Amino acid sequence: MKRVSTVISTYTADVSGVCSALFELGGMVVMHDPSGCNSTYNTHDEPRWYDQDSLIFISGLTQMDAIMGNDEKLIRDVARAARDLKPAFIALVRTPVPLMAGTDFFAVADLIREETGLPTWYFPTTGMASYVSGAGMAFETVAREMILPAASDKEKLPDHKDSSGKIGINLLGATPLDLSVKGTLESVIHFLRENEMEVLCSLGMDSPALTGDLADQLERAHRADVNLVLSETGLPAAKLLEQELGIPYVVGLPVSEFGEDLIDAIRTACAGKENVIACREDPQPAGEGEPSEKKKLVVIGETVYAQSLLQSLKNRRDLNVEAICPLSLRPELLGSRSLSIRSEEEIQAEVADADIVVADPMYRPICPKECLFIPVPHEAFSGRTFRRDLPDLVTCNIFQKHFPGNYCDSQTQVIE
Amino acid sequence: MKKIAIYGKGGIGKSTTVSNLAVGLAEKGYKVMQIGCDPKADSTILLRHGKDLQTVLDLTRQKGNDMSLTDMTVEGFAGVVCVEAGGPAPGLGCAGRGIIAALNKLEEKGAYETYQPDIVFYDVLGDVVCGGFSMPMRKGYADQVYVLTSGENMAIHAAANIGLAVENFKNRGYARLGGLILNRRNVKNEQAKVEELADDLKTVIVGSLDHSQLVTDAEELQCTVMEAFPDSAMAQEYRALADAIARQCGLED
Repeated sequence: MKRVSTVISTYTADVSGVCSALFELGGMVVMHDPSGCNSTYNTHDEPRWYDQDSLIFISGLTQMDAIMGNDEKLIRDVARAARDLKPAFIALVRTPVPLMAGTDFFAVADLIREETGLPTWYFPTTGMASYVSGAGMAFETVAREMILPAASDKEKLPDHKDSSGKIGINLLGATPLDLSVKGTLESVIHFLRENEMEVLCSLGMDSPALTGDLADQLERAHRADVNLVLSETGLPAAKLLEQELGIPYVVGLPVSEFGEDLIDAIRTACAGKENVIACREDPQPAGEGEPSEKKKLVVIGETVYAQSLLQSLKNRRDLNVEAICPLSLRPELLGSRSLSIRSEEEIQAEVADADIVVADPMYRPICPKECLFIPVPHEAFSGRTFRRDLPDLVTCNIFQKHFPGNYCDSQTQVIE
Repeated sequence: MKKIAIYGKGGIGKSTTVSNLAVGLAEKGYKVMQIGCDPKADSTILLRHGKDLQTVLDLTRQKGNDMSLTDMTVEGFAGVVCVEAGGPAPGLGCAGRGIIAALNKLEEKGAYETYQPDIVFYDVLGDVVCGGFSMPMRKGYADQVYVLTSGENMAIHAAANIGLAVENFKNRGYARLGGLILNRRNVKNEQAKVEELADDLKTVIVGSLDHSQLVTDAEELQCTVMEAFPDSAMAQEYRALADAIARQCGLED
């Protein structure tokens, strides 16, 4: 029963993760499914659905299509829509029904590519993994298929780096599932700019704060000095770009006071051409003058955000901090105070003696009644339910109200 | 590495032929892997002398991902690496989907990289009855399909269906038809009927096997003809077939 959630919600699945990562890139994304995956996506997982156009489709797979192996219908429909809509690429996303039926998507993708002449990618999602896996594979594919080719075109390579001397940065792993659309991305861009850094590309999520559309950004992304991984979904793309283009990556979200450390990490990575997983540093290394009694503070959330938030508490020696990262896929991202536990039962046991818990409001019922619960909604966990309460993760110092003093400056907001 | 899928009507002698062929190629110095793609899990039985071999799907059911490659393989006679995909009990589940899951699992566990076979045989159940049973001929799996047939009408009908399936899948980058193997049952006009089929399918008969009592005798001994009667004429026929397949699939000139 360890994988059963009887009280808390579940995280967005990999199918939506692919759609979310590709939403703004001008491609045509087709979920091969009877229907259902689409409504979950556009109703709960995609805040951009009603405000921005995107070519996201459901194939309308029927029982007879599945029984008869009628792949031709999918191929024909996709090719016809592509002729009319002229997308930049086609993405086929697997869902549980064709997974169970064993549809040969590699062959289907080959045939669509041949028929349309368009880049056609297949994402082997299962509907049973989290969005971290789906968005991760989508970003990696975009990096391989849209950033690397620009780098290999010698005519487009600059002779030298930005003459202003600013560090050029790509933001990897930005989707509304982790950052929502409440200004976090813009705050990251402004914060980097204030520190003499320039964002060349925000992969998957555009911002008015950036020059050029996403196509322009992808064109220049290979010139970056560092890739900043804002969520775990960006790591596969970061690794690929490091391997192929030698661009080092830094992992962390500039949450509150952690921002200064992250800037140092970016400079270190840039100077030494080395990767820095800044969010996994021990935020409270053992030292002298430890108070005899400490309060236990637990953050539950996405791996990079949860750990970055802990980093912002590094001066609080009166707290015993810990991160629970239920979505973690890669142990290399986890610090010594982080746990990769997923089940409701395990999480409940871990927070049973916590004094303070920071998590999405839907975790509240499994936390101790007497604990101080600080709600930070997470779109990938509670969907649109608390969207209006979502903070700007960068500028909002969620602890200010509870730990007044040295945790915020005049620019920050406070969650009430 | 050459990958070959063997199809044909149920009961035509695919597993027996593939096992003898595997030994014939192993005798020539090739590393051979034989993967049974049939829920009955008896493709490699003659190579392992009845020694137990847990199927990939049974292991997956029991252990999830906590199993090693060696759990699902046995080294059979002449060093042939034996694997059985397995499947559900008769009347239950979805055997075709099981083949997909089993072949994916083998790949995931690095079977081809670890054993580095020169040649892999997929011994596939009966006709191409559903998408799952076409898995061994999908892109990334077999390069060539060989169809075993006799001159019996039902066997020819099944072989023709398989040939059509291969033709239908050619634009998907699937395996190509390598040829027919004639397993004689001594029916009237047998050679002519199978030659006609080969013409219709625009392919060749890569080898012929006589109907021999030695095949049954060897089966009684739970081994291949190649092992039980290595000096027999039948064993020579299997060796000749091994030579022909090695040439046809590009292992030899």
